[in-house]
Amino acid sequence: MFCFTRRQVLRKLAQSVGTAPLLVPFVQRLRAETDSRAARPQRFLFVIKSSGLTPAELIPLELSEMVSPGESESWPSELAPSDKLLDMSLSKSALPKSLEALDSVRDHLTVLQGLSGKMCRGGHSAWYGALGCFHTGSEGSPGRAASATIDGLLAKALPAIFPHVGLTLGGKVLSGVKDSVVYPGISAIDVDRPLPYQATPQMAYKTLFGIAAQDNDATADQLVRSMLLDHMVEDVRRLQNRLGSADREKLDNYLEAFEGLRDRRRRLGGLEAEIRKHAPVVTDKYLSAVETDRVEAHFDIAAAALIGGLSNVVAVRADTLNVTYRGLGISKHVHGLGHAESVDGMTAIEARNRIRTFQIEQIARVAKKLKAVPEGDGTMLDNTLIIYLSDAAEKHHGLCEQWPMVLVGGMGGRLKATAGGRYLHFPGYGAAGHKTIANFYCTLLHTIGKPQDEFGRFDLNLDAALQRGPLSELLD
Amino acid sequence: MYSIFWVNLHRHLSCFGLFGCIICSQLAAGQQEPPNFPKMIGAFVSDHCLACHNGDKPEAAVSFDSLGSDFSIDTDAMRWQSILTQLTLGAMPPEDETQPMSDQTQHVIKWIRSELTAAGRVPTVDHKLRSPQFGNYTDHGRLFDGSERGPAYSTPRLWRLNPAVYDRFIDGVAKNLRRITAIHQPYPIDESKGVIGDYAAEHFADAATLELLMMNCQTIAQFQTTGVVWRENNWRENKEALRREKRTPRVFEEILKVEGKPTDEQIDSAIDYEIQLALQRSGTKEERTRLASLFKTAAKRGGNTRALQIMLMAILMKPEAVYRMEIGLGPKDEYGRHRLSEYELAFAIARALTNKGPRDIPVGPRSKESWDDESSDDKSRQNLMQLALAGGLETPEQIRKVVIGILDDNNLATADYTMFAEDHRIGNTRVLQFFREFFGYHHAPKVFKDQKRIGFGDRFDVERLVQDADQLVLHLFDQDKDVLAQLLTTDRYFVAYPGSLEKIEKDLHYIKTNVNDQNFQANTKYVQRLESSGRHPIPIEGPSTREYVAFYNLDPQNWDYQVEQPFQMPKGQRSGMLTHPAWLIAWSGNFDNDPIRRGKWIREHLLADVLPEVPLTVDAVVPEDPEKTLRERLDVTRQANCWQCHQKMNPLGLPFEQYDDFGRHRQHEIIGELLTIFPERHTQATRRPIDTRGAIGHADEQAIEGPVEDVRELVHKLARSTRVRQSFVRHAFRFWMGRNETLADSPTLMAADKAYFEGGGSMKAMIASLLSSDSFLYRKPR
Repeated sequence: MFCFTRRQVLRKLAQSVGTAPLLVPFVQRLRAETDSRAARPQRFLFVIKSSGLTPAELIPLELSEMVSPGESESWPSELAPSDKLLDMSLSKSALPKSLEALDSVRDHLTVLQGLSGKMCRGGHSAWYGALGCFHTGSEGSPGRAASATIDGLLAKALPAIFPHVGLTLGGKVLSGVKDSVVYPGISAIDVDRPLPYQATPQMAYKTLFGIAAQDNDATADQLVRSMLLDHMVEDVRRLQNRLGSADREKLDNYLEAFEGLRDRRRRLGGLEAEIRKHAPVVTDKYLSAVETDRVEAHFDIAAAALIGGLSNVVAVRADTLNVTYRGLGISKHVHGLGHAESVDGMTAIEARNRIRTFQIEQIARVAKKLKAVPEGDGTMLDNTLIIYLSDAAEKHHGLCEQWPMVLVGGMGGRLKATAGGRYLHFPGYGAAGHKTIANFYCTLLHTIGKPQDEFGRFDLNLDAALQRGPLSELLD
Repeated sequence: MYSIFWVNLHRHLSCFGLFGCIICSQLAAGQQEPPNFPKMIGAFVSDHCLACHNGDKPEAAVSFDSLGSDFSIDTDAMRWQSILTQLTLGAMPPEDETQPMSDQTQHVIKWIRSELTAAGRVPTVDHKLRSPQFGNYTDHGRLFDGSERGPAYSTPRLWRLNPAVYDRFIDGVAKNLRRITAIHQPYPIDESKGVIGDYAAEHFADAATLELLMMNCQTIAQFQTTGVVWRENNWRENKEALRREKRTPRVFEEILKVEGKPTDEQIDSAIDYEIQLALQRSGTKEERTRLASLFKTAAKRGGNTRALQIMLMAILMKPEAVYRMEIGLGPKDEYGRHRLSEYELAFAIARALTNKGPRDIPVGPRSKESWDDESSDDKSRQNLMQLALAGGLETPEQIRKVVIGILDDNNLATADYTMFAEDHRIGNTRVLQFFREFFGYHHAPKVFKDQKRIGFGDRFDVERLVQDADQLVLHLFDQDKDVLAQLLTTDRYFVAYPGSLEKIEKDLHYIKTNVNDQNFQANTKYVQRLESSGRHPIPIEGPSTREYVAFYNLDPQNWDYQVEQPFQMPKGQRSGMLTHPAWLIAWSGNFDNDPIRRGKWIREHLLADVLPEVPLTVDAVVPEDPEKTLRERLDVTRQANCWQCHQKMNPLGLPFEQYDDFGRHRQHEIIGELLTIFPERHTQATRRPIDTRGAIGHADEQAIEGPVEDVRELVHKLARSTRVRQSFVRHAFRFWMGRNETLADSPTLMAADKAYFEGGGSMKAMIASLLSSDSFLYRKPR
């Protein structure tokens, strides 16, 4: 797949204005704005749930006519595709029930509906495709990362001491909970380079804040440690030369790990006090056997990592299909609920609503923390975008025809804010004006000054032109 | 390069209008047919793909209307990748469509592969084929019909340490290190149920691994020098005290006590010590020079202690300490394959059979003393590394003998089950790991059963079931006779067995005499009641814990505990591992049995078959109906489009309806209410008789195909099947080679199967055959 730079796209567009007349002025305007806003900090928090994010649970009351019952009473309701763009203020509506926790930050809320992602696999998980826009994986395996996912690209573009922080309760979507570093198969920094997630809050804390917590003779320690890292880099290189091509990629990874660590330590120098100031308070929840406790701890860590400036891109894998939400009084795992099995006197729909509400509450907690920190002429929330979605798109076995997202925050002032919240619903799959998740990811890249007008792979059944460029409707 | 994919126009134009139109438009534009036109490919796609993948509403939204053949264009290459995947996995054309000849398919596959390669692209299907879930896609018939001659080999590779090896390494540094300080697992394996997890190609060490590894290495370096400070609780005095613990080798102490600069010899000795610990070899001259240089530079800025710690960390984090090298540093043969060097081979065998290093594994005849006293070190024996370096692993026969010897040395008879239960110190952990991953029964504790259904802590008791299953596996492995058939059919189990009569007596003694135990009175009543009637009490201290034997339909209050195990289970109730509560729970849901996944397990693990993935558009749900049994509720899968796959699973899984989702044998299914383990809660329940009928079909082996009346008939049929045996061998291959088999491995698999069969169902002979095969011994890049 060719990824065009913004300049290339502009040149191409100039040659064929007729194909995308509306895009050109918009992109030109973006270009003009890029420099003036590039200096503003940009942060992203991706919250990726499993088992689908039900579109019908995210709509304002006025649109309830678009909702029809599911296949049976156990299945989530369906949201009909729209034949036109719906752009509504939520100021006069009560927020959908599961979004109520966002009431205090509703000026920063955008519900994004109608995007498709049928270039992805769907099913239980689109794996890397959900954030990467390509088809990969099988039921039990993520397959290849064919290119970087959006969080990986943003991490590369927004360098920080920890370019990408991944936090999760478990590993792959269908496997068990682990207590170490895991590779859920949803984020990649590059082709075949999956990004790791910390599976326990305790380890995540140690990795992010542990270095700064050390009170020993920092100067001498730092010095000899940098010598160690230099030595290791050389050690791995020597072995690479000896081994030639055998499994070279593995040694490359190991080498990069040392180089990355060396770089991080250099950047951490002198910041220890600041990091200590923002480190979250470790509580019993960090090692709790109850999943919801550990999720809460992860969100605390996510907020602290962003506020403390340790990272600009955090991804929280909010749950997997194997998680049983005992902390919410649900004694059946998410997979069973996805298959419409009732539990503890609740229908699967009620249980799913409870889980979604809990996750939104966590997002709201982070948003409030960010809003409490002044930054420039606003707050940190203005320069942070929280993106809540599912790697299975719209339902437990996602079809990817609708890929709803809940956005909270700003994008350095670029996200078009609507007082009271905004509901933006794109025309349905195949209808005029339809857009894909690739357009949304292009939008993110535009706003950080690394514009790309194609992202991942095309959905071959859609016109390629509509899959190019950012979502102008989303931007101010 | 031609840019539009051309078909045999004359033949297909009339059938496929739209495709023809494209061709027409090209011809109208005056283009000529390229000289290298791949007619056969065009005919194949037209005959077998276009009828469905065509037009406005193509099947699965995949259209080949304008399929081009310029592989440098992304959109074309993607569609060819998709075709290659479907053909390679045998997923297309659908079963109910006309099938192409095998050689035609192979020709198309070859052509697509060569075009992708020429365009600098990697076939994406190869990635799938390397993963354990896709192991069965290699043609079973061709693997065992003798048509493939090899030569077999593996590719040169780096194999990351697995978690068990790392745990053992940490224990080697200090047994109690984990107790006094945090040690993290840097090499976790994200294990899927019923899948061999440790594949060499699947695991790597990156920045996140290094983070954890470095924390551990720092702790170890401190422990070996200045010591680790930890907080000790004194419960009796209700006080905490800080303690410093360390284990400093003499060669390190010498450096630590030097005021000025240590001598070169002292530094060299320290380097040698740590390299031997981490890598089980001596340091090279180059390593010594570089590490000494690191020490000296660091000492100038940070002092000797810091410098020593840093130098130790540099050794502990060497790439070789993270990855085991299987490059093939031995001689090259006439097929261009390199044999593993003696050093590589010693490690490969050691890691295949144990979690130890080759210098920790004694080989050769044992002295009388070491037979008599397991704890004694037999200094007279060579270790595996010494044997390898002395040329003792040159021939396959020598390797087989050594492998059998190591397996015999680690027999269950030498292990103490209590220790196993407490910290998994048991000889044959690798063999046990294989069986766990093959059957997946150790996942039982991860299947949550609601508290209100079981009334007591679920995890611990289910873990006891796993331990019982482990004992059964290792016992049958030690017997080494018809291992697989026994595993599938035996009705003699272990239940709550601590390992020996002596241990039973010891545990009972504790129960009878420990007056301070909170359960003492209740236990005394229980023990006296049983013993006074001539029965043996269960040697478990906790009354509620004893309840777990109910999972086996044994009465916790009155069962006459069997002091000699394994013992015969209640007549007609159990038949092998697939009826063991641990397996049944592992393959159950939170509230119900899971006949589909049980059937799928048999299909994939015992019948070497492949099942297509669940179609993405299917929202499978078992309808909830209080009037129906689970079997009846599963009738929903008999719809034509579901049954195509479910016919391969349901008839294999439904005989297990003989048991409830706790793994208890039953005669009736309770419907309409939540099943618990408390009979008194179900006195008014609606009961329906159990229907255990099933069938074995699509097995490519007539002798076992046909209906079965119950689970016993099912597993006995499977146990005498050739295909089941071969499927088992294939899974063993994957575990011990760390990769999927290919057709070139056919001689290896056939030899292993033969060794197993001719050895009377000898698992040890099979493992010895695998570890002395070309697939294990030789390396060659693809």
